[in-house]
Amino acid sequence: MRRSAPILLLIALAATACPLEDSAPTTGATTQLTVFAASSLTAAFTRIGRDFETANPGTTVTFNFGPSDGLAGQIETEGAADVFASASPTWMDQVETNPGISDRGDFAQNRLVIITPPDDPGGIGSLRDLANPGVQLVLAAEGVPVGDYAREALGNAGVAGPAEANVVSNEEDDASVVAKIASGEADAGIVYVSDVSEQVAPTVRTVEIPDESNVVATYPIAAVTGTSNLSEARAFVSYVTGTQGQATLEAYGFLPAPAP
Amino acid sequence: MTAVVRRRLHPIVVALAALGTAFVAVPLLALLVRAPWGRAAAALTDDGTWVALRLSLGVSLSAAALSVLLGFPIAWVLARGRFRGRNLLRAVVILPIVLPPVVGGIALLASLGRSGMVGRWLHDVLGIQLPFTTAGAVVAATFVSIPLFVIAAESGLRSQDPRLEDAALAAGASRGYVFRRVTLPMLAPQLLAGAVLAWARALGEFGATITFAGNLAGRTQTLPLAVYQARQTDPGGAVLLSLLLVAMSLVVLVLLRDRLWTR
Amino acid sequence: MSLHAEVALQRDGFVLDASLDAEAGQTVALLGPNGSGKSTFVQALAGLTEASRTEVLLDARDLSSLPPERRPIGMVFQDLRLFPRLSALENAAFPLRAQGIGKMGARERARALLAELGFPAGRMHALPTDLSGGEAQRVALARALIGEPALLLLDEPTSSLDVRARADLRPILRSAIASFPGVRVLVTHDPVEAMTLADRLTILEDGHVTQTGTPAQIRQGPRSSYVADLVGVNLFAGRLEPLEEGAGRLITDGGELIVAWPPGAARETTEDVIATLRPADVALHNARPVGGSARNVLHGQIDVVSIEGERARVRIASEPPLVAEVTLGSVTRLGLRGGAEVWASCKAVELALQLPA
Repeated sequence: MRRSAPILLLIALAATACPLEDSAPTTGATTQLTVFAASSLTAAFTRIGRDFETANPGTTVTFNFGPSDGLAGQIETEGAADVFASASPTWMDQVETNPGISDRGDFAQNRLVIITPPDDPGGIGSLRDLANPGVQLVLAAEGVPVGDYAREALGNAGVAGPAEANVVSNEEDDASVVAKIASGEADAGIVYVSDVSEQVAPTVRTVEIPDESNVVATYPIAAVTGTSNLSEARAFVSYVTGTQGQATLEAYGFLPAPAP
Repeated sequence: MTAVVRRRLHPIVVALAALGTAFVAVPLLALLVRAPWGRAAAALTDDGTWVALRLSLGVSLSAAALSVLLGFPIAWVLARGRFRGRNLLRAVVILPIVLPPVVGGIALLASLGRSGMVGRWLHDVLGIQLPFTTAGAVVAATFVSIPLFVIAAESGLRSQDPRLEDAALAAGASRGYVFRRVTLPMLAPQLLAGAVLAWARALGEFGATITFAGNLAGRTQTLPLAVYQARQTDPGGAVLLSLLLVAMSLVVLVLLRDRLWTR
Repeated sequence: MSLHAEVALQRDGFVLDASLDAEAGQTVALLGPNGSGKSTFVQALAGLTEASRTEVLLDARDLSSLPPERRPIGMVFQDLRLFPRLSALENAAFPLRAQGIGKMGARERARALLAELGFPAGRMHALPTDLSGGEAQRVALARALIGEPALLLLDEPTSSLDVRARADLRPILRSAIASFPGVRVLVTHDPVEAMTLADRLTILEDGHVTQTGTPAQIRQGPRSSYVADLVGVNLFAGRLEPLEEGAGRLITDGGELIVAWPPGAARETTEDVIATLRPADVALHNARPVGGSARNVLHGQIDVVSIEGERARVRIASEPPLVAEVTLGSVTRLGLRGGAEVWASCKAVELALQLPA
């Protein structure tokens, strides 16, 4: 089932344990920082988390990775997040309304790329080829940022309708799309450039999307109102937007944050 | 025709049973309470809901039928056969119950996917593709529900009295006639119960379906997948859809009564 | 039409090697103690049990290569085995339906046959679980007879009934069997049933046939202690040695007896000789009798005294052991009771001898 569900349970349990160790000045007890981050950030943020822990002994960072829309929904109903990093401003806006955020900043950008199985069964050379009849296209579901972005890109190329008709599956997130393509099940998918990591690259073939059709995804990050670890949350946000965080993100295929 | 001797149940046992029942019943009750009943009418008449419902029914019934067709010979061999490795065979056939459904989906991809062991041949030679199709959803649902039928059927077959079949043979009935008129009628309640359990499991199948068959409205998005997709953008709608699933399953399971547990 | 059946098998250390012959219109009872292999024999006849050697010759036809469903048999099982989901009527009609006969016709014949057997008309649609013992037995019988088989096999048809039901059923069984034109094999451990229903008896003990004959022959000349017990006589077996003129000594495991030498028999030591003695021919005394003509005077403690009406059977632990039959008056007069010491006497001529063939 949902791989974040069991983690969510653990986090919820951990979060309820937190109030026992909060506002009083830390007497050496560890702080548990819970970060909800978009799926596409999995590899990069796991690394950042470890670096942050090394730099801040006494703090443990736990992640809940998932599609941004789902995470926003969870934050709204369950709370339990200290930091939220979204793959699109839309879902950050939603969390801003309820329960509220602070220290918001854009920390990375991403672009889209088409991926196909190495033997390219669909004969895909461009966005427009995705509209060819019989092509089996896999996208993330609507509502998931990369799914919305992909459809926007297809619209930019003028093939939204026919390409949409070629969609054979609406996946939960970018990782699932990669999985379907890497296993050779579908002809093509649209994911983030950062998704084609060192490990993924040998398993798929990529097709560039020209700038005029491509979509730039902006990633905001913020501390969530109601967190009992505000200072640590802020520290994490700063780390991500700071030099070290940015270097790590770049190493994992992300584009730098937009100039403020 | 034995009268059941009624004995009073020990209060502690009853209390514990009540606790256990609450564990299951309270979440279901919470669904009822949380449901946005104001929207219920609209949600129930929504096209999307009906598409998912029809698809779910079609897929689950097909999966149940396949489970019976494929599962009965297996149960027969397990119950009547005498060969080494019988226990291993049973373990293998029942494995999907224990496996996480997603693992089942991955296994199905590896075997029946476009580049899978068997799927490659299906695709290249016969032009058949299972992932992303309704047939694929049926395959995924069958994979997880066969074990339930096999368990019920084998249990029924084992509790059969071979002496009755002897009597039928001595009365001049051919083996086919014995099977039709003696074995099957005695077996029927348990076979039915097994088929219903398989159907119920197929109806609720999610992990293997989404991994193997994908998620597309009208083709592979069964009710559980629809609920999953809805819950992120429309939690109220998700609850309503969930209740629909619960209601369907509840009706059938109640109709099943205690057939699985009595001869 | 005649039946010649031979069955040989070995199972879990039990060896069965027996044969049986019967003519059409004849009832042969297979009689023996529990565990002697009677049911196994009959199941092998039906083809329901594997045997290392079976020969089932119905006239010239060898049935042993046929599967049970193709043998022209009708069988009543000890545990009845009525089909639980079919009504009484449907159970009886089953063999006809299995042959492909239409439902209406089959049910008509079943109805008629059940009526003949005394099955109450109102219970035709009852399920086996709702039938009384006697009713169920009638249905089982109907099911065996309705297909008009050549061979009727009855495996202890009344043993599961209580005394009253058994008495009820016996006349029905009798007439049903009597009017059955084919060969009938009846398995039973009840000697009364065997004696009253059968034309011939085949005695099966421990997997082997020890004796065959008509009830009268068996009664007159039991060849094993089982049969002797059955017919209520004393039986002794052992080696016969010549004694003096006209007399011999029978040496058995349990003791010795003086017997009259069988007329015409060669006067030499003979093995495997059987002697029977009617309990009524044994006289009992409180003290050693002297000066009488009885050549056999035995002495021992009384095991048990069983009163049967006006008579009493007294079992004595003498050498060899004896059963005597006396009047009730004698029991009182002599003070016969368990544990008492008693003297028993019988004349040499009262012992009937059977020399080996």
